[in-house]
Formats: sequence, C-alpha cells, structure tokens
Amino acid sequence: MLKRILGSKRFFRSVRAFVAGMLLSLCTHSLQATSFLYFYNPNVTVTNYNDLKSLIDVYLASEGNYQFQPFDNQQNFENVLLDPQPHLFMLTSYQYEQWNERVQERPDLTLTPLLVGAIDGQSTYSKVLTSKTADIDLKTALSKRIAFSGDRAVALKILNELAMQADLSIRDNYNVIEVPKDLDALMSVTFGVAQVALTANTIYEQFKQRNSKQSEDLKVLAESAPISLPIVTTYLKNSQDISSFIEILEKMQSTEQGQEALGMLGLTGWLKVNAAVPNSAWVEIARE
Amino acid sequence: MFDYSHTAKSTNLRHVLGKLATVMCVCALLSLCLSTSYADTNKVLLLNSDNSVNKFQLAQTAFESSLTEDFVVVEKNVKELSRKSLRALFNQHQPDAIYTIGSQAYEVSKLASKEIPIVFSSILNWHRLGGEKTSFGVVNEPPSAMIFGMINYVFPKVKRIGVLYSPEYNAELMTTAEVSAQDFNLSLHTKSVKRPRQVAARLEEMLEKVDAFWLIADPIVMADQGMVRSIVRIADKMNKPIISFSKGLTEFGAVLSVESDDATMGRQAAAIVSDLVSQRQSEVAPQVQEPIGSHVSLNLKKVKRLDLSYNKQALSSIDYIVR
Repeated sequence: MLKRILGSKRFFRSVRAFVAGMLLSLCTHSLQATSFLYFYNPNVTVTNYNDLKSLIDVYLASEGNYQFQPFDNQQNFENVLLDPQPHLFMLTSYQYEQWNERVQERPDLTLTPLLVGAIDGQSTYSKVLTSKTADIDLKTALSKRIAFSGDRAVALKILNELAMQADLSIRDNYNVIEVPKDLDALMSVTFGVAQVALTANTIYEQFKQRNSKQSEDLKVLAESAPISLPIVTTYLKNSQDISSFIEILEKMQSTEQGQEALGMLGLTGWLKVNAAVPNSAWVEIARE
Repeated sequence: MFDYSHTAKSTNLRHVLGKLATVMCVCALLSLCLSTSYADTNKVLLLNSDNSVNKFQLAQTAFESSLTEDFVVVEKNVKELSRKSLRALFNQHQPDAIYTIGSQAYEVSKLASKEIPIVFSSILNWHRLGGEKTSFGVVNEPPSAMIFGMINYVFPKVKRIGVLYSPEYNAELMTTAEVSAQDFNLSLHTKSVKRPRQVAARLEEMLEKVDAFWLIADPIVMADQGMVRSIVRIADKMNKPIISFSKGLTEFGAVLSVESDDATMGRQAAAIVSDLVSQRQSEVAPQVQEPIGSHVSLNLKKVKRLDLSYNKQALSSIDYIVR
C-alpha cells in the first residue's frame, strides 16, 4: 500500500509543490529588506564596537529581519541618515536638533524622536566634576589635570559650560588626560594621578555606593545641566514597519538577551517620547 | 679700444657675487629662524624595545599624539640599534627627556647622561630593573584597587575573594591588596604556597570559603600551562569564577580579567614628559604612577554556565567579550 502511494505521480506532485513552496517562502524572506538601527554617540565611550554589534544583533535577529549598525564617525553616520528606508537612527538629542535645523527645507528628512534611552527610569544624566583635593575651588580645579573618557571635544565643551556656569572665563584647552572609562577617571583621582575627574553622574553615584572607602574624600565641584540619553528617531513615524521595530526595542528590557543588548549601550530600558511637544521639552515629557 | 668683453665679464661676476650674497643672506636668515623655532621646541627621544609588538606600538602612538606641537619626537627601535650607535644617538640629539617602552629600551637608556630624565612604561615588574633617581614612569601591572573596583562593578554580589601566592614573589602585593580589598568592602582570603604541588589541594580547600578566585601572575601558582588547566578544572568543578590578569586567560576559562590599557600608559607618559620639561615637576606626583586605564575582558559564556549574577549595565565598559 505504502509502496503504491510513494510510487504514485500524485505523491511526487505533492512533494514537488511542497519543495517549491518552501523555496518560494525562503526567497521571499531573504528578499524582505533589512531594517537597521543605526547608532552614533560621541558622548559615550564605546570600547568595543564588534561585541556591541554582535550582542544587539543576537537580540534583533531573534525578532525578525533587523540589524544594529554602530558608527564611530559622524560623517559616515550622516551619510546613512540620508537613506529614506524604514530604519531607526539612534543619536544624541544635540545631534538630532542640529540635524533637523540643517534639513529645515527638507521635511522628508526631518527626524521624529520616538524613544529615549533610560537608566533606572531616568532619561537624562549629567556630567560631574569631582576631586578629592581638600578645599579646592572650581577655578583651581579647572587648571589641574582632568581625567575624562569619551570624545575629547565633547569633554572640553562641557568643561567650558561648567566654567561659564560659575562665571569663569572659558579656555581653548584644558590639561586633560583621556582614559578608556568613566570608572578609570574616578580611579585616577583616587590614585593621585589626576586631580579632577569628569564623569557621568550615574557612574559617580555607583562608584560612591560600591566603594565607600575609596570615594569618601571625593566631592562634586560642579554639575552640568541634564543631558538626554540617546534617542531613537525616524523619518517614517507612521510606517507599520517602524511601529513593529519600535515595539521590539520597547520589549528589550523584558528578555535576557534584550537586557544584555541594553547593557552594551549602558542603558536599562527605553521611555516613549511624545513627539507632539516642542523639541526643547520632549526630554521632560519622556521623564514623566 | 674699450674691452667690452672684460666689462661684460666683470658685470657677470658682480651679478653672480650679488646672487651668491643674497642666497647666503637668505640661508643665514633661514637658519636663524629655524634655530630660534627649534630652541622653542623640546626634544624627546622615544626608545621602543620592539615596535613590531602591538602593545608597545599602542603606547607609542598614544604618546606621540598626546604631546603638543612644542615637542619634537625622535623615535628609534632599540632592536635595530647597537650600543655604540645608541651612544652616538644620545650625543647627537641631546634630548630633554627620554621615553622608553619596554624593559630593553629602559636598560639602554641608562647609557645616556644622568641629567636627562627617563620616563618608562610597559615594563613587567619594573622594580626588578632598579629605578634611577631621574626615572619616572607608569607601572605596567594594574593595581589591586583597579581589579577590585571592576569586580565590584561587574559582579556586585561577589564579596569573598580567594588568592594563592608565593611569599617569595608576591608578599608585597598581598599586603597592598588586603588593604585595598577592605576599601571596596571585599574580604580577601589569602593562602601562601611554596611549591607548585601544593596548589591543587590549597585551592580546593580555599574555594569552599570564597565567591571567586583571583589568579595572580605568580610563578609558583602558575608554574606551567598544565597547572593553569588544573586550576580552571578545579574551579569549574566547584562552580567558582576565576578573576585573572589577561585576556588570554579569559579565553582559557577565567570569567573576568583586568589589564592596564596600553594607550593610556602612553598618554600618562606624555603627561609626565610635559610636566618634566615645562618644569612642573611638582605635578608629577607620584614619580612612578599607577596605570589609570583599564582593559577588561569578560567570558559571558562562562558567566552563564556558572549562573553568576552580574551587572548588565557594566557590559558597556567591557572591552572584549567571550561568547
């Protein structure tokens, strides 16, 4: 009986149809365009772009045809900003505002923020200037060796902002030393190699909490205005593909792989941005 | 008859002499300008033990790019120079400071005048080379505070750390590490070993009482590759993570390793040289500095296998991940 079925033309036709169907489905799947989450952020220290991409891709690939693409160069990142596909762009609020100002004449290239990164429910952080030298004032501190991590130009800009806040004159240059991580900058002060550290307040708080003895002499001399954590933006806010992509990002914090991917970005989750409000206020809205 | 040819010749000669004088004046002025501008610059002789070694090259590049335009760096690969040519080099350049990368470069820098300050980096256990009074530098090994700080950050639940050491080689390290551990609210369980054959038994006994094992570069504890393999096997059997000092060991089975960042050591050396040359010697404190940049590797595969709780946000500070 089985022999008769296996040998029949009808069986072969069914097998052929099944194989063709499978092939067609495979082709359709591979032809479906990949949506990218493009990333550039000079404010954070990315020490390891390969692992950053791989770990985030592990999460995104498990959800569909999505990929993460980080950039260490602003120009290259801006080149992909011109791609009118259903992609997401993760950048700083400062870069986002600058971009939208540049493309004022091109509504099709105007980015809309959808999500903002969060650390323990907060969408902003600040930069703090710390020292363990007793009785040091901000003016003296700014003339000492300052350890920082990340982009040098951004660090110098923040130092000038801190100087201006205290009505001190701004400088072209400071006596800075670059280290790989904010934690290293704080350590360098405890070792006495640098006298001052410029770091994210979140890292400073963690350092103080965990290393009470090491950090007991450390004190904050100045704090910058709140800086938004990276935001996720798009051109195609009404696209179904984009909505699906955003949903995938939003649920990152509920899975192990997603938490690892967020951890690589130095985040613990995302908050929704209400794009209807003016740019200057969207961070506050996101915090609510 | 008036000798026109003579007049023509003498005019020609005057013309040539005039041109020569102009050229000489320009040369003199140029040389004056150059010597003035050269006098304003500081000369650093950079001696690299072997510029084909990646970590040395990283320190060199960071050093060169960190110095301001007031510095001229003359770079030499020690591997390609004889002692005679080195002596000639010191006499020819009369540098304001010498930066040495690696122990071989530091050794030969002693051929230079004692007046010239030497700044070193990338030397394994620099104490063994004996520091000169005019020597400044950056230690190659990460301080225990950096390692404990990172353990605290990545594995906040790890509180008890065990370490095996030979008193002959690492007694001093243990003294500073014990103080450092207390600063980070960690308890350090130390046990000395005098012979490699004691290691396995002591390790098993110790792992019962600790959350993690800190594997240090000790010639008795890590007598050979077989010994390292055996340490990893015992720790695995007892489900205890190993914290080590090299990326290679993270690939071999340790969960975390903390090394000094080579580029930061180059930057630190450049800062020391700048301070020394600009007479800001008081800024160079201490004379031999701890490295302030870390390079961290994490074996995420092992973390999961041991079901270790870790700070996921710390992943953004990891330089290399084994998955």
